[in-house]
Amino acid sequence: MNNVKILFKKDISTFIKNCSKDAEIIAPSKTTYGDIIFGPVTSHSEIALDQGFENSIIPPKEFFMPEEETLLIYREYKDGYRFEPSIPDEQKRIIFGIRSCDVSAILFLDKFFRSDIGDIYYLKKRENTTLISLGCNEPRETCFCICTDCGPFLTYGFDLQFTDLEDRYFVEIGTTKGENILKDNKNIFKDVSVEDVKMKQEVVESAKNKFKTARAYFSKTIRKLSEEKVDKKVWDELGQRCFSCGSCSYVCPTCSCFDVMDLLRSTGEYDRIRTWDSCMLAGFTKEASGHNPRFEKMDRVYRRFYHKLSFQYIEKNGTHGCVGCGRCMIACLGNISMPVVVDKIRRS
Amino acid sequence: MRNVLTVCPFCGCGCGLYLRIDGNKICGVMPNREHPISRGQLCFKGWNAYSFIYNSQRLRKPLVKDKRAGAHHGTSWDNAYNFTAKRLKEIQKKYGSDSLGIIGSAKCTNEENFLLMKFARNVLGTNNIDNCVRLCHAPTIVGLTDSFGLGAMTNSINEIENAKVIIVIGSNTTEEHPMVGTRILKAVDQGAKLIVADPYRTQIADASQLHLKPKPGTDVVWVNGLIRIIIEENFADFDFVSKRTENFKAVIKIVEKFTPEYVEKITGLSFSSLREAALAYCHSKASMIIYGMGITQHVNGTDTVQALANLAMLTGNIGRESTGVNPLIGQSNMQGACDMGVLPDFLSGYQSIKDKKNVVKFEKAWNIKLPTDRGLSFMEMMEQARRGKIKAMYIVGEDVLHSVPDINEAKEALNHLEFLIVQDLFLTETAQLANVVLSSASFAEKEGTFTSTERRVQRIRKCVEPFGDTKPDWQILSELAQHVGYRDMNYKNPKMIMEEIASLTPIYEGISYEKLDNSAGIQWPCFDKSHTGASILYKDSFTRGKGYFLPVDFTQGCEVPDEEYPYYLVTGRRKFYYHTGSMTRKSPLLEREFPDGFVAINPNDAEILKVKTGWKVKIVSRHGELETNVLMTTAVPEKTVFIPFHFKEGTASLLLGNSGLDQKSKNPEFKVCAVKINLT
Repeated sequence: MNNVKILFKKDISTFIKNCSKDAEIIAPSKTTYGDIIFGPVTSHSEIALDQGFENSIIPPKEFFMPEEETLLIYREYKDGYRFEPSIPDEQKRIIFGIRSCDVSAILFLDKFFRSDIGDIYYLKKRENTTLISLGCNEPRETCFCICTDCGPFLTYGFDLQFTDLEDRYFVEIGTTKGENILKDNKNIFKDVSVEDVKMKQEVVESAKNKFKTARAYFSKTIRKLSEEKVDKKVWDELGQRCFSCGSCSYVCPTCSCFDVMDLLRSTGEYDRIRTWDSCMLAGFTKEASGHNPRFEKMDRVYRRFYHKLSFQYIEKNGTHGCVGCGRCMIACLGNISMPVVVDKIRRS
Repeated sequence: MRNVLTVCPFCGCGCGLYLRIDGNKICGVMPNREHPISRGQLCFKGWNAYSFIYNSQRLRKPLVKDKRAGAHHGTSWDNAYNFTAKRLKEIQKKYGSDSLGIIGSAKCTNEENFLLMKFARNVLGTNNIDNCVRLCHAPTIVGLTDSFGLGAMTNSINEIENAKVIIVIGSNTTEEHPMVGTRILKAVDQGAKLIVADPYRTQIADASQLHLKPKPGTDVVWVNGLIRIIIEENFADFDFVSKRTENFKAVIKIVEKFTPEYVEKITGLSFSSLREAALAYCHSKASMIIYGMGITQHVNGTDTVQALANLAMLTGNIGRESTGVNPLIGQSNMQGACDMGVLPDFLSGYQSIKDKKNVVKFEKAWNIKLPTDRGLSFMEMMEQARRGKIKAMYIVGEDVLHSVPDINEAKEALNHLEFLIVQDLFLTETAQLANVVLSSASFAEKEGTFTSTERRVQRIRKCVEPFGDTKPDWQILSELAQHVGYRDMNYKNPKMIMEEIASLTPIYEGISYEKLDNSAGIQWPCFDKSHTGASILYKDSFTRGKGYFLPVDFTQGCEVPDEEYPYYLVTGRRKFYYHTGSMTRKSPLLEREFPDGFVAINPNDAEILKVKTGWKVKIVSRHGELETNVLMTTAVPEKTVFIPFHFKEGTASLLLGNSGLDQKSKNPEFKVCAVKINLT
């Protein structure tokens, strides 16, 4: 059993210390006000790894595609413009304690950012980041990764996957990136016993049985949506509930739409930045003429869910665009988050 | 990356949000999941809360103008202070203290507003101080103070979810107060009956079971009609009325004339729909009234607020959970500006200047003689400036030209002044008229507190150093006072100011930074160190003792359509912008949504006028005219048009004139105006 190891919890601080020698460690921590946020940590004590935590407010996609990112800077001179590219961030990072759903989402984003010429700003960061995921023994009330096949434990996609076995972690190696980390920490990773394997399986099975609420039955919905058999009335009702706040896109780990704009800074320089954008905003689809194909909210809601769930896009992306993290259930002002819509369409 | 928890600078919901900081630059926003109001949610304005901070038009340093007509040039703080202090002293000496006036800011912190109030009363020696509450919610402050004792929301935002009947009047809640809107929708999902009164078909009206569309400006009539129905059918809570209130008989008498026929004639609402609303409201023990500027910005604004207070008292729907009369205040700290006494007739905490005891208390603490005559309110100050009685004004964080009803009159008034000081983030059109422009720091660049619409006092925190050579408003005020020669306004930090506020203001007495930092805010009144505040007011008794039934009659607005001007013009907000737009219109993503002003016209009217969406039309009123683009929508009823008020280019304030003023609160009539529509 070469691709599995055991790491005792008492050794975790040594592990973090070793890892932080040549990489920035990103991990979930709890703010003074009780919120879970992914951010840089310097020691093990800052990390909130207890089971039963809600997903972070903002998904870790922000470490690959920040809320606001400078692409280039330019200045106007008498003889024209001078451009300076913003160098892509090449900081080595380890995201420790990332959840299964969020890893699945990053795999989804990879496809988008790798397509065509490839997005260097995203890909550089992706290349330099190692994902150490932590399976979920205690799914939260808002979690429904079991319905999207993105959790609570992963079979691929991680560099290392940790499973909490009380006093120790069961560690699975997914890639060479993960293997290299193990190599650097040889003496603290121990061999796996038969009991460990058995216990891991038990934990996985028991976690799967803990999903009680927020079940979203996707298949029927996907079929209805793809075959355009959803009554217009349903979209109209959903549209009436939408606040056009954009929160669903901002907190969605698979949403990748952005807007590019040039901002004049007080220094006299222009920053060409890209920021997160949302298809729920009317301005998103407005054309130069002023015409807007999706001026009405119901059209935007339809478009969003069509894009996330229809066969046409599943074929293109390899999977549907929801990982079941449940963030939209918290963020949506109109209570038309993914599980609500899936259920509404299924029953319509 | 650091994450600093602060409060959203826009509407009055008071959402907690984190600003995300990389180095010394804010680069993102994140909702605060543990916050009692935002609960991990934000509206689109909230997600863009920081983008105006780095706008290239931000003022970097103080500006002065030598000649009135000349251009501004940058200067040092010392120069700006010396010049300002010298001119203020000269004018004070020459014309007396009452020739000076201050407009405070609903976007500044409590501490800064308290200093403004102190500056007016101590340094300048006048009660001529007011804030923009006079342009929207003055009827709430005046009306609810007279009826109950305190001019504020009686209950709290989180109670809305559990209400059984909700009446929403004149509020586009989902757009203007999204956190309130989301709770109303949740209540409806849980089976609550929602009744909406609004001429405009808003999102909240779509979710309602009963949508009343009264003619603009006639709310007081149908509310009195409801009261009459409840009394007639004997559904009043007479036990509550006799134990907790007084002067009920006067209301019985006045509502007599509000017969179903009379009400229908004036408002256009049928008896059956009103009866449905009346019965639902009085038969539930968890009935909430929620209202916005749709009722306050009328000549009968205060009357309508008091009629609603009567309705709540009549049915005993006050003083308990999920009941009460709940104004939604539109700005992050308008409640706080009023709480801090940035009003011509109140010291902080609604302590009237007419009460000698209060004045003596402040005089003792400050060791100075205070002016005791009622000062001039916002619109009165503008009027007196025009007439030459007010000689100098100090305007903080308010683009007056675009917030008053008549831009031309306001321009004339400000041009008439001998000296004008404007303190702002941007060189607004108002600031362009100023002799001195003091460049202030934004909400993310200073410490302080905001008070939300539900009386929740919360900490805002400094995230980054002030931009360029700007300073927080409290520091500017403190330093300017030193230059004028007043030594007792020297503060090291806002915490010191809060200590002084607590020592002089009973409703804030138990509030301290230590307590605020360990909680998600405290809802005043908070009387002592151990008190945790109050989510519901008037549980056992009203602040004024017994609730007072004020009989209110109907005053017809000044602007009624006639043959020449056949359309009602209604003004309001859109969710992507905030007030005059000086902050929100500098956020690219917000600006993208609706870059131009528009006039919303019912398709049937559009057909008669032979216009379509996107066409330019000229809107003409008895006071002025403007050109804007048509937006056809069934959301507005026939014979009514709607214009958002955020746009300089198509400012509705050009149209409204200055004829109507609510006499009780001096609030101008913003909401209605008669217009005609011409093709261009």
